[in-house]
Amino acid sequence: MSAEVLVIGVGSPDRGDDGVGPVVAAEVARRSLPGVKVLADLTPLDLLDAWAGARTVVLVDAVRTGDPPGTVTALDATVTRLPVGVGASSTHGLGLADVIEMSRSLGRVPERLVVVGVELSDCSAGRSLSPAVRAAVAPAVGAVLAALGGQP
Amino acid sequence: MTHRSGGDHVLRRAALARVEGEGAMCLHVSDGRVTDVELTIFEPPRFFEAMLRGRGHTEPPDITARICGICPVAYQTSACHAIEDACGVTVPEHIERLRRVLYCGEWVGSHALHVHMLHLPDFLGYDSALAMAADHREIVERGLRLKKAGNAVMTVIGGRAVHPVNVRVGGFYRLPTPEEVASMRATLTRARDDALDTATFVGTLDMPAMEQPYEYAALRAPDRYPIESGEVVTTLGRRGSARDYDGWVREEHVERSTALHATLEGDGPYVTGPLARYTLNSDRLSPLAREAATAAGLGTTCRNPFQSLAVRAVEMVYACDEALSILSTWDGGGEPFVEVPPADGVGYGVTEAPRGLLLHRYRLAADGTVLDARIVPPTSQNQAAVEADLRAFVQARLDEGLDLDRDLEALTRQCELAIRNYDPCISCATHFLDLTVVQE
Repeated sequence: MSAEVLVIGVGSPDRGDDGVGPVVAAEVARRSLPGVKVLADLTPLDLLDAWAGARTVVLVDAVRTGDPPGTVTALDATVTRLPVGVGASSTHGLGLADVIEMSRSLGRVPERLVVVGVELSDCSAGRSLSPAVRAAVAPAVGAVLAALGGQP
Repeated sequence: MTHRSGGDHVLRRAALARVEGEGAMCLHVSDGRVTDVELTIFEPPRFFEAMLRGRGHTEPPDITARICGICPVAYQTSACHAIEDACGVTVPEHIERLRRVLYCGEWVGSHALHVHMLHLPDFLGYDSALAMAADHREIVERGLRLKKAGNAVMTVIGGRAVHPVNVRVGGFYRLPTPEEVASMRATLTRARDDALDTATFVGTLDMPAMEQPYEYAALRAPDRYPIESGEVVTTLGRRGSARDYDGWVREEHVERSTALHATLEGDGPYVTGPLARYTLNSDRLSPLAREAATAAGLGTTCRNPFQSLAVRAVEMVYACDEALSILSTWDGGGEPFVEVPPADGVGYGVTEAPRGLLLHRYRLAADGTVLDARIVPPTSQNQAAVEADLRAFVQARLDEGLDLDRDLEALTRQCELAIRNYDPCISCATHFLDLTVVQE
């Protein structure tokens, strides 16, 4: 069975700022929050299974919206539809937004689904996080904890 | 016959959707004749063959697995075979059998993704699996279950679902426990029922009519449908080893593509993959897979590229059935691997990746250093056939009197479908899709 509260870091650690999701997830895991399961390194389709049955899911991913690099945003995807087919960069073009919307079509959306986005700067292969995104890790962890706030 | 499409038209897709990697398509039509077809691959070249030079003989299975997130087992298996061939080592039967089960898992996962998420939306009239999911939830759920079943086999035997880490030259680092084998059997038994349902559903679909005249190339084994072993055979009567095949395949660079175009000894297009495997080996299917083929509307051969959807569904049934058959008599195996001492020589390995024949060739120094590597993936071999299919398909529609001024967009969409018949993996081939029909 899936855990009721999940934090999932999305992205590739080998692709510069795209790796911020797993880095933030690892920081959250280090706090050993009771009742909170932390995951990373999942393929898009794995996500659908990972959160089936979960009550609260917080996804952390690098985003590109045009804001300054390192800007942290939190979006309640339970109520807000994400723009699909935009910025899809994963295998066979199935992006995070597509996965969330497919999950909605299949009736698998958790009661609460929050996407914490960190505006990226450089996703070159083999790079580590850019300074602006590295500086955003702590605020992003704060945004995850805030999203979990009020959860038992 | 009337040509209602006077003047010049361009059918163009600047970025092909639902294929792995980056490519484009452009067809030029002038006064009712297809004058030019270009499948352009602009995914950057990846230089894996050069990267392999100087590495140790135990490294290619892990390095080449990184070429593809969908078919890493194909790369690992062809690499192991080639290196073991170079070193004169034959692995014991239990290793061969477990490699086949792992490979079955990859076939199920890869075909499940292509059939349900990438190809069926075309046939059911949707732009994406996402749009299809709202109306056909059960189909999408079934596809997800099958993908998950494939992943489960890869995770148990390969150590993880993407880029397995438990495969090594000579065998595996560890063999599955009896509990893991029991778990795989339960998963595959459910998956086999799902695959049968998919094959039966595909049999109800209307397929565009088309007949390919090309040479088909596939492996063929004495007693089983080809996956990881067999001789290379073709519909024109070629028959040979992996080494012979290495000699047959000529590759040349064409300016529009970062993937090499392949021919057999300089002749015209040839096809590798599900249609070729099925046409050359339908007599090797298990009884249950044979039933599924009948339900899917297939005869003993298949030369309609649109029917590749049906063949993939049948191959999913077969892969589940075959893996179950092997696991039902699995006795725990023996040693997980055999030592493969390096030897000075050249080795060849060819296996049936989900998209078709995948050849590896390595030349090793006495200490095992890789001096030279050649990798021939299925998508680059099929590029010429994709272009020939597009030309033939569009010309046939024009000859039937299709009005391009009215139906340009619909025809362009059908061209995209024709490309997806091949489940092209551009990332593998660049070592490839955007689609343009130009009426000039």
